[in-house]
Amino acid sequence: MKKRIALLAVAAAVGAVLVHTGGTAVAHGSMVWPGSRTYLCYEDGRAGGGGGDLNPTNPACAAAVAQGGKQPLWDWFGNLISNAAGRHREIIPDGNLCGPTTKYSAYNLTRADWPTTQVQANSQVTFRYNAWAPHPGTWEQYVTKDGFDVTKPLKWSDLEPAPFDKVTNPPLAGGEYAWQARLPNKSGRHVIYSLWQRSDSPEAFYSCSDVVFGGGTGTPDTTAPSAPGTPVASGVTGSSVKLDWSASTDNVGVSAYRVYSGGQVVATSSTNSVTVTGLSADTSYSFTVVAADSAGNASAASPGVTVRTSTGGGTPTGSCTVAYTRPSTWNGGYTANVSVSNTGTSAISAWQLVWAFPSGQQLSQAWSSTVTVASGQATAKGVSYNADIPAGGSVSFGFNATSTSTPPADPTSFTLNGSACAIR
Amino acid sequence: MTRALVALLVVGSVAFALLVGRAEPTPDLSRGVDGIGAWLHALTDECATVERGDDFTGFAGPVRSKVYAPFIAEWGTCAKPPYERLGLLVLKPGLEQAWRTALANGEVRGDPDLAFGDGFALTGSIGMEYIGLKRLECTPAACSLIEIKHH
Repeated sequence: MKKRIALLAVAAAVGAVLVHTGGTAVAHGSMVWPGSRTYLCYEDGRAGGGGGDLNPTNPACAAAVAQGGKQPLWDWFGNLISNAAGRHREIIPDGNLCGPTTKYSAYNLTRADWPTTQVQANSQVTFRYNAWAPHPGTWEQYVTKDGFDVTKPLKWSDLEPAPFDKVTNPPLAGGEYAWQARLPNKSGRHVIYSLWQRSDSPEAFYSCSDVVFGGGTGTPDTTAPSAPGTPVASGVTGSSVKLDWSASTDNVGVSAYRVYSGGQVVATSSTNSVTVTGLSADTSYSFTVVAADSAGNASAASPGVTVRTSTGGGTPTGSCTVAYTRPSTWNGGYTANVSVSNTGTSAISAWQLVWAFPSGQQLSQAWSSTVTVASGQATAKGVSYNADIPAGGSVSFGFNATSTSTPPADPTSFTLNGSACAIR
Repeated sequence: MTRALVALLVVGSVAFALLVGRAEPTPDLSRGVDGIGAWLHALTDECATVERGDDFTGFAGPVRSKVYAPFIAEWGTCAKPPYERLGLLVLKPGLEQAWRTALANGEVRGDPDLAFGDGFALTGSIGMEYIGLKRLECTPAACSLIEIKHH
């Protein structure tokens, strides 16, 4: 009997491992605020790639792609050394700090035109680091010394000797680690160098974030921008609307505007204008705008504007298809994979997929998407790298859930940004 | 208690049997990258569509392409989160020696950034240990295939 239980235990363990490969994500990441070179070049590449490709327009990013190919940008979260084991200074030569392996070497290019993030000296900020699952480890953030020259190779001796910020096992939510930190007292152009050394593995991750310190006052910026003006809608189609609003003011500067509809961010902009896309035809939307500064302070919401999209030309019913599969089901739970395809002719930005989620089921974990359940409905949204679905493109995500019934009831309908989808 | 344990283990073994039952232990390389894609799809339910690649230098850059490309019989990509484009490579013999030579010439640093199976490789590093792949640790004198540390 003992032997049988042992055999079953082995089988269960192996089964669990294999189920794990079916979608449960694992740790890998890079700094997304302030953005690392690979992350910001990836985002730049997406913007220039028309949705299905990566074609950066920033000259430094374009040069990095010419030297290192597009793969390091597709894998922007994988700038790592597998067997570092804390020996960073021993195994990474001067000049290679930003891209310590051959694959990421192009991100060591000595150029002044890497994408930058404007920050405020001495301010309290929230660092955000992309991740796929919690893993123990310690992050150390260093800043370059006064007089740093970005057009020269970055050396270990260019960094201040002690990290200005260090955190172990910060909280993970929504696919990102996030923690509060105080920026150092610097001015002008610098690099924030982040080291993530896992404690359960010798693997370590490296990222260079190009920043410009400005507005240092010696005190943290806790002043929020003023509320933006009422948005004015124009150019309404069946799937999009252009919004303009009067700009906010801020003691340091507004870094971004977020456009909300129904409590969800549907667009972001660095200026006081944006075109919201991916809307459903013949549907009413209420939009508000929030301004944010580089220290993370957010304004009050602007007054709302209600817009009804036109009846044609947008994303009609049936211009999306959903494939829902349950690759694994067990007594009390299941894993589901969902693929959402945009079969329309225009891109869908800030996608949201909604389906009925029975009361006997409970979401336990999701990957490649942020999934929330409320009032018997599940809502999945894209994460940083798959927030939009280009025309003809698709995105995939998955989740684990518990269920009081076996097999669990599968969804019978889905809506994508308000439009019903065909199920395949 | 014993019943509950046995029930749990039976569930695990059934899950194991279902997954193993539908997955080949290694890719059918006679089908080229489609064989790798089918194998990966059977194991993970991802990588459903393989796109054949025609510009490996554009994908990997000229430095790595110079070392890898002569030893790639065929390649393509598929989506396997978190990889939007995971490279699937059907290999010809000789890549290990080429990497060592490039290492000795100072053209590359460290180890090849691939996860290796028998006659093929994937460009990812996440989760590769779960599907039996290994990585190469190299010096100019020799390379060793080693187990990938558990993520």
